[in-house]
Amino acid sequence: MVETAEIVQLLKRVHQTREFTNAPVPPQALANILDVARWTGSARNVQPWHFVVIEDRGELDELAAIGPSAGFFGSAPLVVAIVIDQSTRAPAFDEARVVERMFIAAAAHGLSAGLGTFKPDHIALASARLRVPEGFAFRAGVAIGTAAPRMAANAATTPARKPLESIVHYGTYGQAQR
Amino acid sequence: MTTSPTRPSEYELIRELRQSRVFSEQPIDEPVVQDLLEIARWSGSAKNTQPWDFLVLRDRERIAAIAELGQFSGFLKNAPLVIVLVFNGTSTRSESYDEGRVSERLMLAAKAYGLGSGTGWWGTPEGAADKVKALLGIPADKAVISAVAIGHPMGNQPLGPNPGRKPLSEIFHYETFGNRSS
Repeated sequence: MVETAEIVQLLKRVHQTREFTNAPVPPQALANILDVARWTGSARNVQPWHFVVIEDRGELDELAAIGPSAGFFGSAPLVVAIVIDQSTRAPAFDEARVVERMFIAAAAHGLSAGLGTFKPDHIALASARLRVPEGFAFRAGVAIGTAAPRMAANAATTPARKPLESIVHYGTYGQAQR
Repeated sequence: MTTSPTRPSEYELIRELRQSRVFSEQPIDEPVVQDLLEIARWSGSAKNTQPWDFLVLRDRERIAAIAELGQFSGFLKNAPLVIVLVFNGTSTRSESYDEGRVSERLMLAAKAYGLGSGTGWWGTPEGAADKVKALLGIPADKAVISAVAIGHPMGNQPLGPNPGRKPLSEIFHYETFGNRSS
C-alpha cells in the first residue's frame, strides 16, 4: 500500500523537462504510463484519444522542426503523440487530463516528461506526418525520458507559482479568510 | 539523475482514480484541504500563466444552490467540499487545457488522501455558468465552467452508461497512426 505522504511528495515534485539524456525508457515503464493514460477519465467517458509512440530519431527530429514549442522532441528518447477526436465535447480538457496523468506516471517511474504542442497552423502538418485520419488531430505530444543533469538540477528551482493566498477564496470570490 | 526502479504501488494508485459522486457527511480535515490547494497551485499551465483562482465551498446550502444549475453538476450537492475553478477568461481553449490539468492533479491528490472526487460541469444548459458566477460573487469577466467535488466516498458509486476503458490495443499505435506493431 502506497503511503499518502509518498504520493503527495510525488505530485509536488512533478515538473516539466525539455532536455533529456540518451537513456532509453524501460519498456515496462512505458507500458505502465500508457496504461495509466488509458484509464484517464473523459467527458461522458468517450475516451477521445489514441496514442502514437514515436521512437524513430529521424521522425522525432522532423516533428521538432515543425514548431518551436515541440523543438525539444529532438532530444527525447520517445514521444507519445496524443491524437484526439475533435468531434467530442471537451477535447482540450480531456487531452490535458491525459497529459497530467502521464507526467505523474512518468515521475512515479523516476522518469521526466515534457509537453510539446503545435500551434494551430502546424497541427495539420504534424498530423499528416503520423497519418492521422480526418477528424482527429495531433496537437500535443508528451516526451518521456531521463532529465539531462542540467534540467534535473533546475528541478529545485522550478518556475515560481503564485502564493496560495492570492488565488484561494472561501465561500465567495474575494473572501480570503475561511 | 538515474532512472529508479518502477514503483508499481504509486502507478497503480494513479491508474485507479475514478470519479466519485456519492460522499459521506464527514468533512475534510483542514490540513488536507490546504495540501490539496498547495498541490493544485503547482500545476503546470500554458507559459506558466497560472490563469486560475480556487474558490473553496463548504457551506452545504451554497453548494446545493450551484449544484442544481448545471446538467452535469447535480452530484456536487453530495460533497462536503467543492473547489470551483475560476479562470481569467482570456483564452477559452488554453484555459480549458489548463483546467483539465489542474482538475486531474486535484483528483489524484484527493485519491492520495483516500478521498473521492468528481468534476461537475456547467457547460449546459446555457447560462448556468453565469448563474454560478452571480451566486458566488465571481466577476463577470472571469470564466467558470467546472468544479471538483471532494469527499469521503460512500457505498457503491454509480457508474455511467459506458464504464470501463477501451483496450490499449484499440488506441495504441507505433510511429504512425494505424501501425499496431512495434
